[in-house]
Amino acid sequence: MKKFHLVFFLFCLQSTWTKTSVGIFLPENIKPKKFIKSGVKKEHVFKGLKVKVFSSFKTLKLAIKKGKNPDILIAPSSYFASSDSYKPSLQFMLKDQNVTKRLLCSIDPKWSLKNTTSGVVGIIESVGRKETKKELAQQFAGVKFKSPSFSKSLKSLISSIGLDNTNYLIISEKNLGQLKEKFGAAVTVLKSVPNIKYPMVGAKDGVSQDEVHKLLKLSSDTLQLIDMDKIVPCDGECK
Amino acid sequence: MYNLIKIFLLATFILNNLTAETILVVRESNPAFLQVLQGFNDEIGEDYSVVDFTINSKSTYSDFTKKIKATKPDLLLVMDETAVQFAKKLNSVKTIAVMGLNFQKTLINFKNICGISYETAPYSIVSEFQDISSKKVNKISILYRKQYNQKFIEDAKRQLSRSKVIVNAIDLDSVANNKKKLRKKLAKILKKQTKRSSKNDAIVVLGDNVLLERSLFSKVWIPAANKAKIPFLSGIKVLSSKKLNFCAFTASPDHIAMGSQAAQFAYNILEEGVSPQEIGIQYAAEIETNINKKKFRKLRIK
Repeated sequence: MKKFHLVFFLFCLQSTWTKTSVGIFLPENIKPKKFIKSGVKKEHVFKGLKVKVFSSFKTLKLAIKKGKNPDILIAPSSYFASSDSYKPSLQFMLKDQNVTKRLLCSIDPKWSLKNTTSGVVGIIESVGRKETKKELAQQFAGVKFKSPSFSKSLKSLISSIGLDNTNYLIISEKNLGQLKEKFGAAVTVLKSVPNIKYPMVGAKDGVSQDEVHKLLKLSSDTLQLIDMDKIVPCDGECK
Repeated sequence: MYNLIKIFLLATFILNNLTAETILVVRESNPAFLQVLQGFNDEIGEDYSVVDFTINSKSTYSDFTKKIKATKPDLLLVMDETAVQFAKKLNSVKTIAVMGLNFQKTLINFKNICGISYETAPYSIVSEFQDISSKKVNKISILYRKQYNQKFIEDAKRQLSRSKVIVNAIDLDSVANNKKKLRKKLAKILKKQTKRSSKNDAIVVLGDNVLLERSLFSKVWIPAANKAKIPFLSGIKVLSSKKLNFCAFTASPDHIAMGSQAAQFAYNILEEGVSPQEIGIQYAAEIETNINKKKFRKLRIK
């Protein structure tokens, strides 16, 4: 009996070793706990894989620093622009590129488009301060702010404008409802830009492309959970 | 050639570390302050050199200035009253103040100091309470002393008006110096404001030592909360404890998140060139909530 236990233990240990690991870091698209419950556990593509959902950029950075980073990573495209650890090979897409927009909002008439240079803009920090700032400057070209203020979650982002810690917010269109729930008619959308950067899938050196390409079979339910319509290969042409 | 590259990289590394801006943290040895420091360090990482200076009740201003001379900081992060007093006296180094009370009033004339208020904004208390419970809040009453909390109440009114919550702020300054009168007036106001006819949905209790003085607390506040048909809410965690059974709900600052918020200020000052005066005194953005289940059941709040 003891021998059987030992063999079973070694078998389990070996299967843990050989499991491909997938990391998911999509701060603006998903809530980690909810996604694990309704996305990871129900998605057949993830079966047999070791899946970890990162709740913050800090935990992802820490995992990379410790060498415990996943073999395959699903993250915002801006992450791969500055990553040495992963090479992107799949890209999520939307059928209609104008569907997802990013909005610049305020809840006080004083903070209009004319006053941005004297106001603080709140934004969810997706992939580190520098990258998020770069992304902000690219997406809202021509709009300058006094300074940015980074939040870790949508909840604290909305709180920050309610407390006057920030004067403007940048949010995804799908989150406008939550902002309006708090502040009703006080919410003004000052500018809206299409979100042209979609999440990507990247792999570490040495990870088989067959393993990565298995994610092409992600179900439409999972794609919907991350606000996307499809996933396509983009080797060499990922943007 | 390979060695030359190695030397060049080493020299760049050393130079970077030598020129990294220094942030001096001045704090007492206390678990809460350590949590703030942890949140601060986690956010700052290796971008700046952070020097931790622990003081105690015997530390003097001279000890503080010696450390300033030794470290030549580009920025100060001061925690609690003693350290804030030292920074105010120095007033020549850009400073972030945290973990102290009534910064809205005490730091108003200090252009070199910005900070995070340790008092939770009534906006956060009400907002978190509404998120957690099924109770809609349209009107609240707050008892306060104008002389002490005027700016705080002005902020609360402005912030809550956007969510269509009416703030009925009742000033007790006129009787604050007379304990007997204060007790009588406080009891009368609480009786009136907790009745259904007041149309209040909650009473927000501020952390004011005079209004929450020990005998007032046990003889006026606690009985009023026990009789009330509406919940008492506060930013002071202990007030919702099982033992006190006073507030139905409290929302207090999350210390680690407060450190992270202070780190944002540090980046804005050192990286973006924003002055402490422009940052001003902000409220804690991330909050830790506590529910008193006994009160929730009694008041039938789900």
